[in-house]
Amino acid sequence: MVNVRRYVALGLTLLLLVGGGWWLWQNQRRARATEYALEASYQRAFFDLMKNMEDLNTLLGKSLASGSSGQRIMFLTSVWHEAENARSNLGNMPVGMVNMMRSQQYLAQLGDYCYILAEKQARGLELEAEEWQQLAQLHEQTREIYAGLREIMSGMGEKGFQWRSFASLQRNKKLTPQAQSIADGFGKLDERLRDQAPTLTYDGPFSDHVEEQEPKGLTGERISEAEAREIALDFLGLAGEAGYKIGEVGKTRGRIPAYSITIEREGEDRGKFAIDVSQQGGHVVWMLNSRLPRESNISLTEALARAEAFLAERGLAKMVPTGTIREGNRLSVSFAAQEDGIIIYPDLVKVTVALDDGEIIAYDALGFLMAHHQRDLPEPKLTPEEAEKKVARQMEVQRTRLAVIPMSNLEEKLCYEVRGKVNGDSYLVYINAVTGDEEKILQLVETEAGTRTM
Amino acid sequence: MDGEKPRGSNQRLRLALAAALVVLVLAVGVYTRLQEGPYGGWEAETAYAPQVGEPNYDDIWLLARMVASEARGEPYEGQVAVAAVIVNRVRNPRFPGTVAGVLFEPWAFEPVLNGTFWSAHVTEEHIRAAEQALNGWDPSYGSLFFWNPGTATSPWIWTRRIITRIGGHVFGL
Repeated sequence: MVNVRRYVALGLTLLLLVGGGWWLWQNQRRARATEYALEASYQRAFFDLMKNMEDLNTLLGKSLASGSSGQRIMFLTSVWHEAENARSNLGNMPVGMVNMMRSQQYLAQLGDYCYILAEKQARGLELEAEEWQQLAQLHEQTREIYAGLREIMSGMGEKGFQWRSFASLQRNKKLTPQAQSIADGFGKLDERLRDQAPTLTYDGPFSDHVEEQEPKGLTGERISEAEAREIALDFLGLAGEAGYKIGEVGKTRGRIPAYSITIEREGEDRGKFAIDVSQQGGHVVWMLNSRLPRESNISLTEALARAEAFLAERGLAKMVPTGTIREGNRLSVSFAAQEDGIIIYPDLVKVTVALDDGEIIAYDALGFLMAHHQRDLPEPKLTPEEAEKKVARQMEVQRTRLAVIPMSNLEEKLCYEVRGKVNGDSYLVYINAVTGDEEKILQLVETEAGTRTM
Repeated sequence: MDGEKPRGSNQRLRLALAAALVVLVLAVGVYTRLQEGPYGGWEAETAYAPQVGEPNYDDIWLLARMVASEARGEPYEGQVAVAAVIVNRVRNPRFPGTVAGVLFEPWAFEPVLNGTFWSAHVTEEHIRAAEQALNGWDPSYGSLFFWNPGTATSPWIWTRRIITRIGGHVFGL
């Protein structure tokens, strides 16, 4: 009996060991397969990035060597594509322990800049001496970055480097000497760009001046915290009423320094208001209510009327609605300013209406405060009929009106906004009212939520 | 003889009970698995179906998940601000040019590293916050970083210029 029991115990233990071992082995195998798959994607990103840099260097060299603007336009647009690929590959590298932001910015601006130069030549303009110089400098830098990457690669040794050791790295864990030298290599690349890459000011969205934009619409004197509180209550229609609680007032230090105020109404679940009032001039920058409307009781037409009335009561009567989006039981309406019948798109205000009772639950005037100023608009040189003749022949024109539009570099242009259809799809084509150039095309996409522009 | 018959049926009864229990446990398991769906209850929670020509749908899906995993329990404006930081990064030359590129940049966000990004429970509030940010609301005033002052481990993050504090997060450039 005793012997039998011992054998059974032994057998069970063995079974457990074998089973446990098998289970561990299986897990290990699965983990390793996942690691190799991850490694493959990192290796691809690294080697593709090297290829991108080599291509960028060649393409920029050819743009400098080409005597034909047609060819040069092709090379420069290829630079734009290849720079975007390089950005994406760099973004996939597990080098988060070193700061690669300048490299990312460099690649984005390189592509953006070449795109703008290509566009300029496509319009029949010649490159200026400064632009040739800039191109030559960018060309030289891509060569240096490529050389830097090759140097990193040669430091990897015959067996290469396993990037996943970066990705699975735990906080504060030491890197191996090889990994450290590779991290340092990337760090050096970024540092060199920080020291040497030029500040690029040009007409593209990634140009340095776009980020450093200052608000144009902030008028008035500095206000106190108490005044800000009054303005907030007034804006929400709570001034002189009872039954609300004001939280601590914070201060923000962004592009528009503001007082941040939270207001909670007592009683039923009416949500909490968060509202920012600018320190200069006491303008409401934005407002958000945390309430989630549970049902839709009012029509979209009525909701739109509520939004218009809300703005009119707050002295923004000249705004015209330019688009609506319905999301759940809420309707968000975009408004643009209007001067002498001209739509001013950069002066943008947005209002969200709760569809259960028509209350305004969100407001945003950041765009308006950044852009609004007294504009000196040029006289249109084209008539609406002339503008309509500039659009594609196959376009069936529905409506034409004057509008000021913001370009991607924040420059503003007075255009004829021609709305028309091509093969059943709707478009807005912007024809410069002074030069007659086609500046921009937006496609209007009808969705259940509303019309979106793409 | 008399005693055996009940014992036999007793055994059969026990066997049947055990089998029923196993079936029940399996059924509950399968049911909850089905309820969860591939991404932890998104389908069950909302009726937000993809629409043709809805360009922002994928971005909302990702942003709402980010809000759910990074800003759960934060005030609504704090949730909008977290989503707005992602949107700001997409527009900034220093970061990848798509929402997915920004979110899945290696080492960029804790929830993506530790998997809570996929298990987070997305509610209607998170979706609304994501939409509000995509529609242009930005309580962070163009911030590119946010961190929790209590748990932030990188000393580098404190070299950033602080723009505002909302709930438990600091937002900066």
